[in-house]
Amino acid sequence: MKTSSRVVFWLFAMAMGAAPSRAVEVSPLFNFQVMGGQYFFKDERGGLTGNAQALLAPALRFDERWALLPSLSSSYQGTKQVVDLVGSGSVFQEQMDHRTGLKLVMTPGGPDGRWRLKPSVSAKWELLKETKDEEWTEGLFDYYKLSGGVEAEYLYGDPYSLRFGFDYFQTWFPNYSSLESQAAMTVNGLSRSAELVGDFVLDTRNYSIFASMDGPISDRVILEGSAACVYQDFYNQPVIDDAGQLTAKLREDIYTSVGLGVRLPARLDRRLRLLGSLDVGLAYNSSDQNSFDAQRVKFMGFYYNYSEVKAGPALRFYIGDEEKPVLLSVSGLWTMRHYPHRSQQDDKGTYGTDPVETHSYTASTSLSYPMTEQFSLLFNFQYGESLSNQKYEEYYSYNYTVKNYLFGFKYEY
Amino acid sequence: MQVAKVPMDLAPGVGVRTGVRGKATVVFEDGTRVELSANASFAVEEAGARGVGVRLFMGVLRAKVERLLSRRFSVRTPTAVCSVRGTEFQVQVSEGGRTNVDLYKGLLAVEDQRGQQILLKAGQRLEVDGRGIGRPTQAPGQSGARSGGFHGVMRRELSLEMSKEEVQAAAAREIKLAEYQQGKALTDVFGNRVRVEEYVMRPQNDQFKFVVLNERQDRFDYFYYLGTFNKDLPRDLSVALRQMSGGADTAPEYYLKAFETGRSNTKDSMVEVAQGGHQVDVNNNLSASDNVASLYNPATDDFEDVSGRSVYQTIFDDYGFYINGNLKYGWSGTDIDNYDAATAATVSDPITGAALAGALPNRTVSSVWPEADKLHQEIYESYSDGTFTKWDNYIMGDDGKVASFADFNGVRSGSDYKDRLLRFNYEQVITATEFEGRKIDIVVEPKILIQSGLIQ
Repeated sequence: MKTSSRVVFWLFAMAMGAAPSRAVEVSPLFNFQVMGGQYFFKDERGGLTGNAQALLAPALRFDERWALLPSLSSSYQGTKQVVDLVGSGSVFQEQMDHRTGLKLVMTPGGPDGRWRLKPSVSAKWELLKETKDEEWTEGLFDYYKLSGGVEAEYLYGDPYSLRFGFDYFQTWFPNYSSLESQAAMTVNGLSRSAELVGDFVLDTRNYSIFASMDGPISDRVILEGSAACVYQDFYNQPVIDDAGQLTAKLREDIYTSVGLGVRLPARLDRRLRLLGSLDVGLAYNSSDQNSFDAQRVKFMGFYYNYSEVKAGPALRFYIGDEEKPVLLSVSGLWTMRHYPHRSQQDDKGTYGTDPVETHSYTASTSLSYPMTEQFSLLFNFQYGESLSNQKYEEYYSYNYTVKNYLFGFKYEY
Repeated sequence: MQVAKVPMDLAPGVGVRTGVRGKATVVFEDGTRVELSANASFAVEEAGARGVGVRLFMGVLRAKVERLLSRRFSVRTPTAVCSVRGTEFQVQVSEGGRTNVDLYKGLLAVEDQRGQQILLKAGQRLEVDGRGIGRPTQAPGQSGARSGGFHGVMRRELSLEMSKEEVQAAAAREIKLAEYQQGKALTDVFGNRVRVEEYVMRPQNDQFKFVVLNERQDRFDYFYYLGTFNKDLPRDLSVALRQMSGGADTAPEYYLKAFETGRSNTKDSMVEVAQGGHQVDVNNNLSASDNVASLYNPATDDFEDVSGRSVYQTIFDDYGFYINGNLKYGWSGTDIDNYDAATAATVSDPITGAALAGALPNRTVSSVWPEADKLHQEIYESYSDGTFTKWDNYIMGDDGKVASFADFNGVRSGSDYKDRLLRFNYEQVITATEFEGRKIDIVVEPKILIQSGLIQ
């Protein structure tokens, strides 16, 4: 039995073993959303396509201490999002993903207990068609991921809580192996491949710890804070030294992030409520991998290091009936990413002295109009702009505008 | 502030306030339970034979009232009075006394300050403020009420799960971003995937290797150039690579002793090997056919007239050209002064020394430009045994069109030429009798050839 299967079995066994003789209570959660729209990148526009997603989670309660949350979800995306990876310039992209998860929710203290312990496992498969010659399951950047972890939550003032935990997840890109490892260059019986060359160089093992907390600081202000650290082990990717040589050392990254959010709920009228919010975030990725630009014989140490700052306000208006409000959202986000060890290039590719820095701005608005308690009509529009001092854009666009619109419906139970 | 020790008796008139992190449960003698959430302010007004009366000033109260026909249970807020008999409901008092009442089970009478009264049914919500009673609506979390809030708790857990999933997906997206930014994954003008990897490596201290790997729709091609120099190479490879075309007046500090090139489509291969490289003043040797009149000077980034001056370039003693592992032609010699002095290989392999199975055929080379005004050169090598190799070299734009001579008009210097060349790609298509209709097709960006010194 594989490790992942053993974990799933263990979770089931724990849950079932804990179940008392009384009947299991089942509370199904269901979500289905379909949207159609169009995507625009610079002066190009994609065709009119659609996105769809569905989620089913039959939550099981064995007693007041034990509950199990299996879930199954799938999504298809034919219209790119502004926050997607868009600099590759293609307006054509299809994506789908399928995920299954199992989460055990234990409340040792029963209904009045303040602690919850939540072990979980999940598996995800993401498929991409980014070019016209790629078929489903043959996408260069298809990946699958297995994840397992445990989270503890302390409800210090319901609904406010402190959460912390650990996750392990492993990611495989089965269609992406380095070209050099495929070449098998042999002359007169002697290998001409690079020594130490890795094959599936994008595959990673990831170890993540995280903590988050929220709570009111007054009648009108709620604060949220979070911190996370992910250690990434690229176990097939050798580190490149300053002469462009592959070494026996394998790449390791450490990604650290902190976030802070302020929520300001207000009732403007009996039929109009507002939730204002402001979120800021800081992140830093530290990598021991270097890059050797073979085209310009230039070495760049710590090529993958970057810092990122984000800030964005949002306003959510709840209009009308308290149970079925019309929801209007307006939000903005500024993101600045700074690569301290990557030199900026001009449009011919000549390296300058300044580090690469990119500022991106996105604005979005959405409207959710409820037809029944579960069924809503949806519309959203997103606009994004990216500006950078990196002017060499033969491979990837750093300076562009992008927008999309989507409309459709959602059914949620 | 008094911190209560629990359990404690609560007499009429005594108030209870829960803290930011607090909550409290009040249990009456008849079994009625009142749960107070955080930040609630509450007092018992009456608890006797006639019934129970409590007051909620602020916060959320949830009551489960036992059904006793002779007794009443009422909750008074700044704006409303809720009177019940046997039910389960929640009352929330917000700033300004605004009161929200959610009824989960039974019937509930709600009265405002003016005496206006309404009877709530199970599953309804009502809002009461200083202006009076609002219109009943459906209570939130009907599904939650059905399962005691379990539905809501699970929905939150699911939401947390999806947020975590998004963080993990972002890590995968970041990996993909770096591949795109380095040009390892491209989309061509036809919307098809092209993968390119280019390396410069140093297998030994005195060697450098340049590798180009292409993967397209249904084919894989690669090219490599392995150069071995007369001495250990400097950390900055470009210093040595720029001297590969030779030196005027004095011998260059770095020159090739040997090189090897390979081209393959993974099934077929074409390999050149040269050894015994040494410096010769080609303008003052025994052959006039190799004289050099114009030489690139990396110091000035320009071509200079070197007629009549000493020009030192590498001459290789031994050379072999192989197709699919078999020697096609070659030569050998010892410290030769020029290539006319080399001996063509006939009985043994000039590189390995192995005896040949038979005499090598004679080779004839021709070169033409088959398309008028297009930068497309065709080199045809025909052999006396009827076989051939054909090299088609193209200078092409990103749109796939072959460049014209006019695209290079006005070029006067090495830097002019390189600047112009940077706008194009270099593509080489090789066919040979031995390939049986297959081809080797390699796309290289000239930048790497320029920077590595292979184009000057």
